[in-house]
Amino acid sequence: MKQSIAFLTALAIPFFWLHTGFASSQTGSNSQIVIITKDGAKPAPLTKNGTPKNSKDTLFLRSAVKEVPLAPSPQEKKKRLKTSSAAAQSNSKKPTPKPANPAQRNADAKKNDTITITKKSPSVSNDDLDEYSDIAKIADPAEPINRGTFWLNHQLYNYVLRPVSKVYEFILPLPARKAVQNVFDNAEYPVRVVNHALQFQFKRADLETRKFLVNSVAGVGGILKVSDQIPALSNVPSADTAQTLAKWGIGHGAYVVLPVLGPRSVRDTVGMAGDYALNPISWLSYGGLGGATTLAVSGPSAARNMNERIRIYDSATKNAIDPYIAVRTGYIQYRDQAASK
Amino acid sequence: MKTRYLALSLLVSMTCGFSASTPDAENTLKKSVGEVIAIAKDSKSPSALREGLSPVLMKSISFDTMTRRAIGLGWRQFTEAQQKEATRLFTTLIIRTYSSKFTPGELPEISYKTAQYPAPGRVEIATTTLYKGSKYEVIYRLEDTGGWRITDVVIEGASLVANYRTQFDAEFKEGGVDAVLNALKKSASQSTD
Repeated sequence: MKQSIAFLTALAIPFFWLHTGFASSQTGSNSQIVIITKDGAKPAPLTKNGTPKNSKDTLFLRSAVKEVPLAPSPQEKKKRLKTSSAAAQSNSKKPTPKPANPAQRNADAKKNDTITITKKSPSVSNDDLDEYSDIAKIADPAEPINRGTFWLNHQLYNYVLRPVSKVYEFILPLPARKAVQNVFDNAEYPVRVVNHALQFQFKRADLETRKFLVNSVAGVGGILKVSDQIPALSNVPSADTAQTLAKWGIGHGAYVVLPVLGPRSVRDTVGMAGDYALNPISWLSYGGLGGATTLAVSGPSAARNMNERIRIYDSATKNAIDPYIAVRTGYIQYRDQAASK
Repeated sequence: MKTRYLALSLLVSMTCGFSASTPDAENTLKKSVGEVIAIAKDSKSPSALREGLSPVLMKSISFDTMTRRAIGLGWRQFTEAQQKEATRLFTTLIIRTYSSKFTPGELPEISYKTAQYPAPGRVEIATTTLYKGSKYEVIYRLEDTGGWRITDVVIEGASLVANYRTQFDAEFKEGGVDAVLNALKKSASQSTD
């Protein structure tokens, strides 16, 4: 009994030591050896023996480092100089303070054998401020034209599509609208399965096929989305031609705003053409069906997306500083995420 | 036998000490989202929803971090007073933006996925939200700033902070600090009801 307790305790000690060792290497407590970072002097990471780890940074003794506040920005300097010169004009006899000179400061410090560094507030390091600088970058060489089309679309959404979608909501209750959505989603199976195959995602193509069969048969032609109840089929990522082009390494190209259709990139516009060619709904007009029949089928297909499109548009533009840029950024991020799936 | 189990549980608890903070982040998020959903369900109007959500969001979201990152490098050119003003105005915008995602009386279904740890002190928790018949992927980014608080919300790949960052960059390029503050004042003063 005693032997087993001793054995277990001996096993536990390394874990406990690792935990405290990990914590102290993170915080660097008890270290008089520091490295200089843009956030100020930080304890140098130490080995278990208490000696500094090998690194590219120069090591300093903490006692030899003196930290002073960051020098004021040029605007702040101008303001201070203005204030101080105004004070001088009002017969103040106090001398204008000279702005901090890093070279002079370091020269003074050398006399005292200390090294002076400027310490920035930890809450405003450049890394923190610049974290989102590279997100959603896209060329927009036709921005004036795009802004014009964006304005036209805004009028169209507000004065045409919004009232039409309200009528659509009034005529069809939510369960019926959901059924329409499911039928057309199911019919667009060729778009998804072909693009999964082009992306060499054959397992997803197989799942997409099973989903189509389950929803067509058990779901009565796609009206009921039975696949949502099957865990393996409920979260199959979608695929379209633009996503395939992205996976093949083709970049966005320039940003464009299409009339009615809204934001796209050049790549996604080409992708849209591919989706149109693969969509069975598009084949109706080439299948000898009458214009009325085609309209009866394609009309709800267009209407089913209207609500969602308006909702997404409102979500992006309400509370935006610049709605045009908000929609552009949101669109690019959304497409980048779709391409990464 | 009892001593043996005690020793084993001690061993297990020591090894689990590494991830003690991670359940805190997940629990904090779940608690905050639960409060938001409860308020959304009981609210009678968008303005009542916004007023009800405001105290919950104030304690759950790190607005100063969000504001700083949304404005970017230009933040260093703001005076302390301007920084406070920008944070106050941006807080109003974020509360309004987040509140507008919910409809009074509607209840979303949220399922939480496994948390990811991109860096020390940071957690990303992905969720799937079923709302009004549509499914959305929402990722909450939290940081440990003396307690876990949300620093970004990513809805279907679109980051809230990144979206405002691109807008503020354009304003800053046009007219610097004043242009950013004026744009914030204008947006925050617009009524959306």
